[in-house]
Amino acid sequence: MKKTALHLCLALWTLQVAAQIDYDVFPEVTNTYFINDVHIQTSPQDSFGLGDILIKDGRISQISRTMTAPADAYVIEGDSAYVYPAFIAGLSHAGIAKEESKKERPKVKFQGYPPNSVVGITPEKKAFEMVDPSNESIKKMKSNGFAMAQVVPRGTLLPGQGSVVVFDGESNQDMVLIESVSQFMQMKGTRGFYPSTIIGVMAKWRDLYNQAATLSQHQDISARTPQSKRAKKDAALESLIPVTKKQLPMVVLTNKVKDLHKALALKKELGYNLVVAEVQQGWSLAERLKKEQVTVLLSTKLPKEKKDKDSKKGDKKTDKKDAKKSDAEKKAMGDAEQMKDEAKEKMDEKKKPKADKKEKPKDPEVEAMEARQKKSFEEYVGQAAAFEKAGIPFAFSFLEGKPEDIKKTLGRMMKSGLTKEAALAALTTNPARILGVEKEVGTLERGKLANLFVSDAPYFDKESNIKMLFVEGSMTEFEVKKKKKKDGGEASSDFKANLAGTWAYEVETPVGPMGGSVTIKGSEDLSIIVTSDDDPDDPSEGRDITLGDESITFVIDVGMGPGVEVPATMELDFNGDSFSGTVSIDEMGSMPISGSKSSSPEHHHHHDHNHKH
Amino acid sequence: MNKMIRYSALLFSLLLIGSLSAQMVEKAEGGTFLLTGGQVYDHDKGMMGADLLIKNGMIAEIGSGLSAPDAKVVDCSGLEIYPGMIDSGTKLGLAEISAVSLTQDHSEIGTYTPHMEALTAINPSSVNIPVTRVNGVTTVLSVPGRGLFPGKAALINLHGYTPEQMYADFKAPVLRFPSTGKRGRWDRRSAEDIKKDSEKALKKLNKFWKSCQIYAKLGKKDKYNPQMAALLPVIEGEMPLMIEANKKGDILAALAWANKQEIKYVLTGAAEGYRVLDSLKKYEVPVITGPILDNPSRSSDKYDVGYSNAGQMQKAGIKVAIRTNETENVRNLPYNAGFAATYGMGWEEAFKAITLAPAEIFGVADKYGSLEKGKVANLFVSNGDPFETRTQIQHLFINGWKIPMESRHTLLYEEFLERDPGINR
Amino acid sequence: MQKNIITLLFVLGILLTVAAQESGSVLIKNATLLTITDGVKEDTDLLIKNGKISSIGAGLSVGSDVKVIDAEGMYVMPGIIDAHSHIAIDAVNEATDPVTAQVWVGDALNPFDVNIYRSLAGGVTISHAMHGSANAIGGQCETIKHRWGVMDPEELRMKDAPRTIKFALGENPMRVHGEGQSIVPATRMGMEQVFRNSFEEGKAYAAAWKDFASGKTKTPPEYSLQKQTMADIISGDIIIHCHSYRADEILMLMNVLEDYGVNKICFQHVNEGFKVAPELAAFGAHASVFSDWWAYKFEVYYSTAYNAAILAKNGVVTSINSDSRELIRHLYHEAAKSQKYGGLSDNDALKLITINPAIQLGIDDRVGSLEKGKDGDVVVFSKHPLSIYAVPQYTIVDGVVRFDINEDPSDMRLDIDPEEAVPTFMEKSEHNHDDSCLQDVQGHFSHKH
Repeated sequence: MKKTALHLCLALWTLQVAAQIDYDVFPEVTNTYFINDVHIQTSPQDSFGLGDILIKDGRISQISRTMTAPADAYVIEGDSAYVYPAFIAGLSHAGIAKEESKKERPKVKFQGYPPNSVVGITPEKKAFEMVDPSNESIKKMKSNGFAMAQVVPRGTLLPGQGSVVVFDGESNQDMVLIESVSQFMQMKGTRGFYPSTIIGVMAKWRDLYNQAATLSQHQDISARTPQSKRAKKDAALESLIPVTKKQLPMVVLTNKVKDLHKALALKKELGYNLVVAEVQQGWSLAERLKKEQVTVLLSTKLPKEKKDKDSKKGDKKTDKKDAKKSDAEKKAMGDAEQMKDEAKEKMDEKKKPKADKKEKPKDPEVEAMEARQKKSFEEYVGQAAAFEKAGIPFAFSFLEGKPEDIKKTLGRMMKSGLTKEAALAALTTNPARILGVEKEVGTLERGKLANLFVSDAPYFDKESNIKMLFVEGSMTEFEVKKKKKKDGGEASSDFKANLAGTWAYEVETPVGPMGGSVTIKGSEDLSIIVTSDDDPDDPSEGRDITLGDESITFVIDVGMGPGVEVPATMELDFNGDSFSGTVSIDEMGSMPISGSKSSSPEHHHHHDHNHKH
Repeated sequence: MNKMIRYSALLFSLLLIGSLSAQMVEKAEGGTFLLTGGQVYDHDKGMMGADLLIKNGMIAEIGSGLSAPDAKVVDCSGLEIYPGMIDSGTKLGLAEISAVSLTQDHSEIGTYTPHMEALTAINPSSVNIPVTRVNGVTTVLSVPGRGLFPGKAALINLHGYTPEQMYADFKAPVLRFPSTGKRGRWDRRSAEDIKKDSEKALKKLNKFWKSCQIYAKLGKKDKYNPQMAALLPVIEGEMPLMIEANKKGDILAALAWANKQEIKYVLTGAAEGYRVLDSLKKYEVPVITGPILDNPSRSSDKYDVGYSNAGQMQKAGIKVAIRTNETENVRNLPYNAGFAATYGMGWEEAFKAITLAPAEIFGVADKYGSLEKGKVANLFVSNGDPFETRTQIQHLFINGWKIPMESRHTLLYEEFLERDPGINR
Repeated sequence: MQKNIITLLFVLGILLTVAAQESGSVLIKNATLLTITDGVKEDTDLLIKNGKISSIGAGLSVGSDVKVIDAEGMYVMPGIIDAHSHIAIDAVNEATDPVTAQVWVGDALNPFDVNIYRSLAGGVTISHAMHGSANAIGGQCETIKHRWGVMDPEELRMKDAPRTIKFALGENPMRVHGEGQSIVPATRMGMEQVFRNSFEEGKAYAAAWKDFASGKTKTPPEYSLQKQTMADIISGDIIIHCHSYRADEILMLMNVLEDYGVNKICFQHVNEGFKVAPELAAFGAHASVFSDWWAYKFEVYYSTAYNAAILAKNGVVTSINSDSRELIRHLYHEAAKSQKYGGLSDNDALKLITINPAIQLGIDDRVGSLEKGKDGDVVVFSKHPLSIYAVPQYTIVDGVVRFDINEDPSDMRLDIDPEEAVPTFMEKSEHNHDDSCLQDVQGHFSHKH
């Protein structure tokens, strides 16, 4: 089945020229591509180093350092960019439109006996049938490096079967690699109908499962016993028979540890193969999942980061005040409105200016709760690292987390200990193996499908951009986004790219303004030299440099008279070609600093390449 | 024959007595009563052996060796005499069966209904009333609820044939201060929605209140505006406002609001009072709290904060009264106080919180709340500590009436303990 | 397949996972023991070894590795058992059909429910987590041990406790289905027929499988967990716990059960049980009642707080339950009300929350009294537990101290929200009573009990 689908797919690819005349497009003249001079990450662990890749008929034809491009090849100048195996989503609704919410309540006389469709029991459906190749979600996934996914239908209790699709093709027939790889289940009821609650759901599932098993038994008996009672036709139950025979695994949505326990209990009771998906709180069960050979798809939805971190952006002065206030609020039983009330109360009491401004002592009860929350937060973010440590080759699911956040999400997980290798494996080799397509995809090897993406910098660099994606040898190019600060986007590569150069500054000191220059080299590994106009021959070198989203913090030693040097902390917030911030010296307090760019370095080597394509 | 007649006469009279006793309704007994040989409880001095004379509905005398020739003597030897308990927050008389909406008279429709009078809707014949009073609760505050200003609560004694007979000289309008908490487990509003709702409610409150203040200034008392007229006594300082707030932030906001208005007020609920002891103390606001037998309000709270809250407030120097917030089980008032006593408040203060403290808060301490000469004869006689669950109330007096110790519950007990016929026809 | 089903049902009835259940040892010294089945023993020691009561006597000693509690002046009683509760479960009612015998609240156990800890702090070591009362035949229930601290729902289960199921009579199912959905039962007449119909189905189902197993029929019947459950009730594998109030409906159900040869029944709430106490006693039915709840709906208007006393004095095995996250915290006080209302002796009052609920749950061979060989579930009180001044000091489950008043940080949550530090404030309900019995009933029927 798998093979046929694949062949069909490739055949269609060559026939993609439309029958009707359309001179807005032109036919692709070749399906051979030659990418030269790229760093090739062949697998999560291995890098080929600089080399060339030849793609032919949708497959990787060769990876080599010494190849010359064939005459029919469309040559892509790699310019030392980075190539990775394209990502595979372990679970997703890619290409499947959201159902419009039904406003009308279905007319069912007995709420306890609704038709299957009313309560989302449609295990006979296959996900690929619902995939629309032009759906925006597929484009989004592609632009983030995904070439493939296990898609499952949207729905309620048993939405249907999972299919493996590649993100290339003009119809869902084109896209499907495997029609049915799993049976998808969400332990979700339907309001007002049986099953409506979790207890109804569990009972209904037991019923369906055992009815399917009984039906299968009945079918077998009927087949070999003439004139026996006929087994009734039932598409839903029949589609569950492969599960009862362990031919198809159950993919079960299990966010929380309680859900995992339920899924594990049911697996033990009924005995099918289990894939737990969209796992958010599973770290305490890692060992057990491993022991019971459960396949794990971790969620890419992480708890939201605290707001006061975000507030660093924008107008710092006012935001800082707000952040402090919201902090104090939290200290008072977390009631947002409360500080306001206390402040009001104070005002009413008798206006005591200034002196009252001191922060209230922290409420130890709230402090303890904040510590617990922080620990919990870290456990959620650190889940992937914990699973790596437990030796579980997990993949990721994207029903709740957004694929476009994947890099940021991986960054947070890696900060909590997930290795780069495991992160890549979770998006390539692991899902390939889980979906049974490891011979076709997951690594960059001769003969495998040409599913790969090209990044202008190492993928995990904060400012790297995916420039192009190949899906079965079919190329899509992406515009590299220019993130402008004004748009409020996150740390733009512009900011870093623009850092290098010489900046003039002025500090407002108690004895009047003092000027000088800051010379910055590099964009990631910075070196900083600060030269004061008062003493141009004795520049100081910045140390303890921290690069923020749009800011740099570093320390220099400044002279405070003969032979006396004290450390000064510089916090500079950049906005295009200017900056502002503070210089803080212990025991002296802080002084405002501002400045602007006076000159740029001559070469923008790396930067220039970005614009070529 | 004679014998026969005598026999049938006897039989007849027996039958008569039987049928009479089955039909007889025990009525409250009026008159002068002398309670002799008991231990009389005094809030300051504790137990004292003394006689107590009830006359014209009042405590006429407390002392040893009292005599009153016309008095009916109630032998209280071995027993203890206490002032009747006061529940400072109930729906008693305003509700009969919770699930039958048409028996509910505490929640009128509307946001601003301070002119609703709880006393108007008190049902003197509520089955709940005898059930309550035979446990020693003689007086309750019946409180309306729903909307911002649900109406005026009324203090009633639990005996009388008309609301007026029951009225115990205290009324005050209620303000349910806008809450920023969840209303219950079924409340699915997001934190943001809750905040918005409460801000909206606060705006409504302030707008209405300002209008009431203007109404008061303009002296438009003759113009028919019952909603605002009902709040005049509060604005003019003649009546306290009973402000319900429970969450820490809401209590603080309520205090700030009330102080700005410069009115007399009582804080009710105060579930998180223990978190704002300083503020409560600073403003010397009296507090009515309860039920004590209640769950903590947050999942992170210590298991016993409900039990200990009243004691924590009282120990911080705040005047605390205890309520059950109940209808048919107001009878559990002594047990609510008992738990407060056990979890930090101590017996004396807990007992005060259901007798003298509410009387003082309601401004009726000259009549109620303690056993003193000249006060209303609201009292009960028990065979021990009224907080102890097994203790039995032996006699009960309300307004000097000796109340029969029976209720639906006792009557059913008497009828069914040994059912006749039993299992056979 | 047949074997498969049998295995499934077997597994369903007992335990899905044999989780490693922590048990411990502890020695309580110099206490007043309220044994329930063997009188009051003053100045006596009680030793729990590996989760079981191993000896009761004077001058017991243990190695230094065993925790010793000096309980001089204190009272020790068996862990309190609540025969009717809805704590520690995420769903209470599958209210979509009058008959949902197939559902099981054991599927929705929530070990993170802080009410487990709060009930431990009131001396309760076991509760009967029940389906609600929306349906005539509700779901199967779960007897749980309050092992606060475990993460795995399986570890809350009381292993080997008999299966139980919730039935419900009267207003609740009539309102939810009759009034709410315009289907049978809308009356107490219809109610009877719902039970008879389901019992018939169960009977026929068991017979059909029997015929298939014996080869009498060639093909298997259609699988139905609901009918199988009804068959299991008939065969005596499941104890019925029936929400009921009025005397007439109680009599009705006993008549139905008699027709199907079922005798394991405990009536729950049973506010008018006092009216038919002789009939209950004769049937051998049990009663689990409120201490004093009444008047919250019409069918409990003619109630009396003397109910427990009347039932007990008429020979009905009676318990006092909570049905509430609030009352479960002070069942010892609720039991004491039977002394106020009906003058029960100390021991008879304590039976209402120990051995009697144990009998009703079919676990009296393991818990409910202080006896050698029974589970090490005990609670240590500062004073006699029937006194209002009694404060639980330690609550021990299987020899493990799960509540210790001296080590009781405020915040006992196990599952911490990663985004919100301070949990939401819940306003008190206007009415102090829980409405957990009709929890999860959708629409406008969320009334009480």
